Amino acid sequence: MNKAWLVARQEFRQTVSTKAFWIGLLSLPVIICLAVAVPVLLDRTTDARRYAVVDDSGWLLAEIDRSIYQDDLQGLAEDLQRKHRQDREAHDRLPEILRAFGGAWRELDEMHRDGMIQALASAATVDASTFVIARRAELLDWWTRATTEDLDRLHLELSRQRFDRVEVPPGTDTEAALNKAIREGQLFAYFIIGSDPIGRGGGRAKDASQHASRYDSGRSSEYVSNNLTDRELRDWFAAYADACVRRVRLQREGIQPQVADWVQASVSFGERRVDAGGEVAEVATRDKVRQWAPAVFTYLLWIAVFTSAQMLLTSTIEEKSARIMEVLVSSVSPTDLLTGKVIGVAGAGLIVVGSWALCLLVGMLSLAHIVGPAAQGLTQVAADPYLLVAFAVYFLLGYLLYAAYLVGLGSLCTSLKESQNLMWPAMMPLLVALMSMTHISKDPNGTIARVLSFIPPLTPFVMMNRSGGPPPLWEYVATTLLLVLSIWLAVRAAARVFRVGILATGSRPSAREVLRWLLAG
Amino acid sequence: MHGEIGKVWVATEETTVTGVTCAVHLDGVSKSFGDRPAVCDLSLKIWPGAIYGFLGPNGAGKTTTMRLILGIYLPDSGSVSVLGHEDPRLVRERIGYLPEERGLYPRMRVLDQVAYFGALKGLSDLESRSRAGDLLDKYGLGSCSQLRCQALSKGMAQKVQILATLIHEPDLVILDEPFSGLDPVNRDLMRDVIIGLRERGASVIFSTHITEQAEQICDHVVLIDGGRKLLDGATQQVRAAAGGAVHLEYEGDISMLAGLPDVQRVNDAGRQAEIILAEGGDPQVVLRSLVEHAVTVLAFDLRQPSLHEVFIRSVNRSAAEVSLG
Repeated sequence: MNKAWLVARQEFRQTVSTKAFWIGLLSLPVIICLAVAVPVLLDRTTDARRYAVVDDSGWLLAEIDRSIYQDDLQGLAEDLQRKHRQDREAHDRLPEILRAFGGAWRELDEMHRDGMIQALASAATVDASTFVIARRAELLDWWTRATTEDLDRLHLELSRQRFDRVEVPPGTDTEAALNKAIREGQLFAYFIIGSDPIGRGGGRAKDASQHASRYDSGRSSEYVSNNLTDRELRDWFAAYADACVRRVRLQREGIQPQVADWVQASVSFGERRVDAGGEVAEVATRDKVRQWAPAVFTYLLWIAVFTSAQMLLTSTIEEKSARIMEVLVSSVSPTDLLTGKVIGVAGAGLIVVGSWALCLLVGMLSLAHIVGPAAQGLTQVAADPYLLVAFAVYFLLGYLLYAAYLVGLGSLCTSLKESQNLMWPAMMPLLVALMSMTHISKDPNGTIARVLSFIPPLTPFVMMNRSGGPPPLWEYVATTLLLVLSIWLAVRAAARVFRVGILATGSRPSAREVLRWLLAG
Repeated sequence: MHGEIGKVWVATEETTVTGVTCAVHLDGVSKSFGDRPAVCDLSLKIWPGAIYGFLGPNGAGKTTTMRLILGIYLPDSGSVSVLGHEDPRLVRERIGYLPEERGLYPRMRVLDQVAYFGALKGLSDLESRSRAGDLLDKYGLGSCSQLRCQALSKGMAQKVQILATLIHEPDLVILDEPFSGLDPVNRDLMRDVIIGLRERGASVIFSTHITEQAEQICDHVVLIDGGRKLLDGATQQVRAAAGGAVHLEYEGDISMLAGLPDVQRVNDAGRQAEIILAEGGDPQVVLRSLVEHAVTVLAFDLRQPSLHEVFIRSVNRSAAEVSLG
């Protein structure tokens, strides 16, 4: 056994000294970082979309502008409060009007804050605070004049940094001028608001015949752009237009907004679950996360088993092609050699998986403000000893089963290319495990999940995935026993093939020959 | 030590004689792969402190015999005893083995590589590293000890392989075609190493089909063909038993020698030839014939037949027996 540890240590060192190991180790963290950072970076570096609006209605654009201003003020107020609390230095560098606005907002309670923002965005002075009355015009002036450069310098965010409205060029043929601006790349898009957006189509009147009904006003409003893939500006502006038009429609029909909300409210089914004691309990985020966590663990397990078994295959073939095997078996028994290799690569595999898990955990904790309450739930689940033990056990068992096959295979081949053709018996169950993952997560105790649990090459993945169920104890015991028995048989078979295969040279042995080695004992 | 070898060689079937135990004793060993026999009923004794050459054509069963001695293969029948143990696997740490197909871990550093093989042979980490360092220094590889093996030249890699085989100072050293692929410098190094091992009291078995090397180094030769032992004896005795021969250096045409009744065979290399005399053949008749045919004789040396001749003759005889049988 001492020799097996020597081989394991050597195998571990060899494996961690390869580029493939480090690429594997760093790939997930790098992918996660890129997935988070790249969209943010791209978003920041994207120029503001410049747009214009031709408003035939004469009133809707002003309403939309007011709504945008209102939302900007809301975001600004919250940002000012955060800066005031966390970064006083940055806060103190802000223009005086903003500091005064933030201060006035902070002094109010939740309900009055909304009222203040509404009052600032409208001309109404009823119930307005002193600040609103005294400085509304000054704040609006700052908002109107602030450029994107000013905002970047002050680390403030307004909608204008993403969507910047420019005035429609003066003249008679406005649309021709706008079309030219689009063609020349000076404008991203322009909107045409119909003369009667309150009608059904929200459209632009063409002639009197189209005013037959008060609900139908003819031609639709238009969005003109040469960029057909980025719909962000269109959706954003349309959402504001929708909200304003609906508000006016409700007013016209004499419907209270509260009534409209009530009419449109959907029937809500509150989620409950039955806990271990048979009682109905609330469903917390943690419970939902826990239901899906096994799928994440299963995926991690799948990658871990696949990666480690692949490393073992590569190492065996490399040793065979580098002609080291014969020297090794003159010093170490094939069983010790096999054991050492399997343990050494398992160690390297666990380091890869461990680092990924750690990376995910750190990532979730550091991005808690983005992920939200799910982050806390995820970290609790990730630290769940039951899941961690299940993961470790199933990794070990799954790895041993696949390692037995692949190390046997490796001893027969002299090159990786040669081994690719014989990989399919290992790849098939791995693919089935991957394809059935979502189904089993949704129905962990269904017939398919239960049947697949009893197929040894699938057992580790399916049972790990079913732990959200969880399955009855006897199924755990029976499937694990079956899996252990399969591993025992597979390792014995692998040892027999390995013992002869590692010294075989020339062409790859035929299936009949391998069968003879297996039966020879 | 030679005296002992001479004494036991002629003496006995026992494994131990006058307190000296056989390093290797094969007794009626057979090994087949499927229905293909690789070694048939092979019996052999190898005594300590001697160099044994395994001769035989490719596919004769030399490597299989070596693997049987190492315990890599188990015999189908017969027994193998190595360094006094019935199971060779129990004395792995006292055996050094350099296979014909030899390699190194390409990414491993030279010192680590030699030390790793030492550790596998039972040396402690500390001792194996210390010995590896000393060996590398002794054989001029000290400056390469921290290089990765893939950076070594072929000759240097060969040296490292030899050192890795010997780091644990084995009592029995088995070298499978040790000279094949070696450059002249490393060939001399290998020869010196083999002779040094004998001086240290270790037994050395090496396989080769280059008979000149075996003739120079071996105390004892074993000729194997088709998995069977054809010859087994001290090198000088094997040659002496093969009759007389003449070493000739010449200029001219010597084709007429083949027709002389005193000549059994001529191994003609163009300007040199080995003339194997028939039983009772007279070398004077050969010399007279050469002079009569105006052949310029530069050297005419009466000798025992070379191992090469013994090899060819034995293999041909074996083939003839097989075809008749």
